[in-house]
Amino acid sequence: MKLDAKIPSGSISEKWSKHKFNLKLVNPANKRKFEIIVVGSGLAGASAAATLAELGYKVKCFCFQDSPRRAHSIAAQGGINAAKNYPNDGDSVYRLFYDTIKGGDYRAREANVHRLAEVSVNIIDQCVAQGVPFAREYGGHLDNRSFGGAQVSRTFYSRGMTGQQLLLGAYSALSRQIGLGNVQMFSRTEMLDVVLVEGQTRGIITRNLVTGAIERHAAHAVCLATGGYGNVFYLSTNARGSNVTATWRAHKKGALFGNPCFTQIHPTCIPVSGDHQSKLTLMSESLRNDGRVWVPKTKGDNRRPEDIPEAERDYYLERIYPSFGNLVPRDVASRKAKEMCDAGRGVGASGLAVFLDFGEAINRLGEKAVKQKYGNLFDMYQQITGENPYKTPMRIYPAVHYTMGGLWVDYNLMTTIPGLYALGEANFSDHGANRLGASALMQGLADGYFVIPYTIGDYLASSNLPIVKTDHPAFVEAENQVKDRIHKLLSIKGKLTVNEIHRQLGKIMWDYCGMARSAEGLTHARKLIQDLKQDFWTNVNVPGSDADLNQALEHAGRLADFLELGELMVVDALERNESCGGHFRTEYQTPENEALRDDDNYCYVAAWEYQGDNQPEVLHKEALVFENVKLTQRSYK
Amino acid sequence: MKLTLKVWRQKNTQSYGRLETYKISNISPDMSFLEMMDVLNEELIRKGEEPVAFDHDCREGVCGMCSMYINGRAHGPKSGTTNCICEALKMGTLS
Ligand SMILES: Cc1cc2nc3c(=O)[nH]c(=O)nc-3n(C[C@H](O)[C@H](O)[C@H](O)COP(=O)(O)OP(=O)(O)OC[C@H]3O[C@@H](n4cnc5c(N)ncnc54)[C@H](O)[C@@H]3O)c2cc1C
Ligand code: FES
Repeated sequence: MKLDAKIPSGSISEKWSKHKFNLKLVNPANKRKFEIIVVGSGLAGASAAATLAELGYKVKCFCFQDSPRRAHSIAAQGGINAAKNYPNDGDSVYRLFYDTIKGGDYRAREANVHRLAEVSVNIIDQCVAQGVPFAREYGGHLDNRSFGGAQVSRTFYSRGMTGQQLLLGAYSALSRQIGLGNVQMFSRTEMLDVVLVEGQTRGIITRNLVTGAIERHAAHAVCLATGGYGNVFYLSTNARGSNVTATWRAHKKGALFGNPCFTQIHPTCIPVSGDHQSKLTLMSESLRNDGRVWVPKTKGDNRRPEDIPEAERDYYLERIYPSFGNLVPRDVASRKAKEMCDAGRGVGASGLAVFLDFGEAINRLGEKAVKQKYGNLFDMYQQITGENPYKTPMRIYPAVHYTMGGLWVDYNLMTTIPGLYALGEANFSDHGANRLGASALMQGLADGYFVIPYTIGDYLASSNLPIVKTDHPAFVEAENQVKDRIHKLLSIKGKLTVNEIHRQLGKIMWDYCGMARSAEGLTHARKLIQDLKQDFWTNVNVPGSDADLNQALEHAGRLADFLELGELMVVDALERNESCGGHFRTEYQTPENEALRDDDNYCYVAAWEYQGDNQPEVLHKEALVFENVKLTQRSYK
Repeated sequence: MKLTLKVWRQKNTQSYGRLETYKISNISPDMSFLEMMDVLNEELIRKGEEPVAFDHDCREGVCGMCSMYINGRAHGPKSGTTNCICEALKMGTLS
């Protein structure tokens, strides 16, 4: 298979405009003859479904929650980037492009990232027009704050609930189209497979999560906007339902999976408190605008933080990275926190935490001002930990947060299967080996509002798409496969619960494929995952039946996919003999313990092709060509 | 800690429901109400019984999926918070 990213020719700033002009159009009267399926109703899915319907296509949209507005995007806190340069502090489309390429440690495609930066400015206008209440300054201008990896302020926000407000905007647009009859919405419905006819994507198989009914849906094209797969680690900041099933099943049908091992571990989350823990809670990166990170200078110093004098504290991010200080990118901040804890200087009962201290900001600005900026996050912290962060520093530790990897897509967001697209966190495209804060919301909305509406028309207008009905043998076969698998899961009736196995998988992934990875550890992990997969398929206990609501069955199907994905992540991490961004191989580091890239040998996207159950996957490489940005050792010092 | 839970169980809209009593132990004061329900469900599955179905997703008080009716109140007796982030004990005992 030859990977063609379909990157348009021309200078970087003209590629997208030229490409838009060259794309074939579907005439307005013909649009309603085309049916498009959008799986997912988060920012990427809701924006795509609403926009495609607004254009005149017939759309079906799916989500597993009871309402599209509960998609995981709702939890996003800190903000969304855009190169508006409202503060007049030197931002530009080119700078956002540059920061994103650099932040991603030079493992993203230049053309995609530049397009993302270009449309970022339209996103803000679109959202304001919808009524999204972004924070404003006294003069009425939209306010901006700073996020990691940038020296300008370009993050638009609605207090600590930006995702919620953006999703309500997209959801309103979607609801309007549902009301007009242009979008048919299927909530509490899970997609379990894609259906291919003559090599083209022609529909999906779903399960109604309330009645258990397996259903077939035909279409001319399918968009997967199903989010990321951070829950392969069991504990993460993702919503509990977030999973890889949709993209994984597509992968098994032939869509290549890009950079599966590229995972983002967020530095500031509330630490694990016990074995019962089901979820890790993020404390937004925006807190690093005013919070200072430190640990005691001496090992094993377990005095209360208030009792440790200034001179005995190590504000290690400020010490090591004087120019970016506490606002270094996430991968760097996380790794340093781990190093401090590994060296025995961690705090709290488990020793797996560092302080995030607002004492200085409270002295400087007053408690009231700090409350105005971060009040809801401080309340959340207090509710969960029982400690008052106005009086004593927060204790924080890194946690799995986001996955840069995902389905491989070309410049048009099409996967390697014709007619199958991937949008938002579900694709691998724009963040390289590390995503900058506030860039996921930007990418999801860019894909849904501004990219797919153009690119999908080109496919529909230029492909031969004969009529396919749901009684086609391909639908029958796919449905049977889905049913067989469900029956198999229910028939094992072993001794282990799904949750138990998931927790074990998470521990393996965290220990060996988390913040620090080594060839030895990864090799070991691969074996452990294979054994666990065996345990799962011979000894799991999924209670209940397939004919009604069965949450254990839902979880079991998702875990089965995570087990396969987990192995591929380990294989991908093992294959990449370099460190870059969030992928840190202990064998490859600079003398200052920073990630050491190997551009001669690894400047590519790793795209994996499925070969059948328990067969090793085949690696395809998309070489990354940098025509504008010069590759350098990333430095935030 | 040990707790006694009375949970409304009903298979579907066609069948009759009933309150079922469960005694659970090993509940830590750090657990959220939903984490306590996870413990109960693990025990039920191990005993070969059907776990309690309940909606949840973000588990940090934002999405609005978790909406149990606890001690006579939707979302539980403690106002201004959700089942997923409030400690099990506070949720169950305050009225
Ligand atoms: C706590 C938290 C805070 C964050 N804060 C920020 C921030 O401040 N700024 C920022 O830029 N990013 C932030 N992020 C990242 C960002 O929120 C996500 O990357 C982004 O929202 C993903 O959007 P999405 O539309 O791709 O997917 P999601 O919002 O995850 O939506 C996935 C959709 O797919 C559906 N789905 C999935 N599988 C199936 C299936 N098999 N069948 C049917 N439907 C399915 C779901 O129902 C859902 O509707 C944050 C993430 C977390 C966890
Ligand atoms: S699970 Fe989202 S609010 Fe409780």
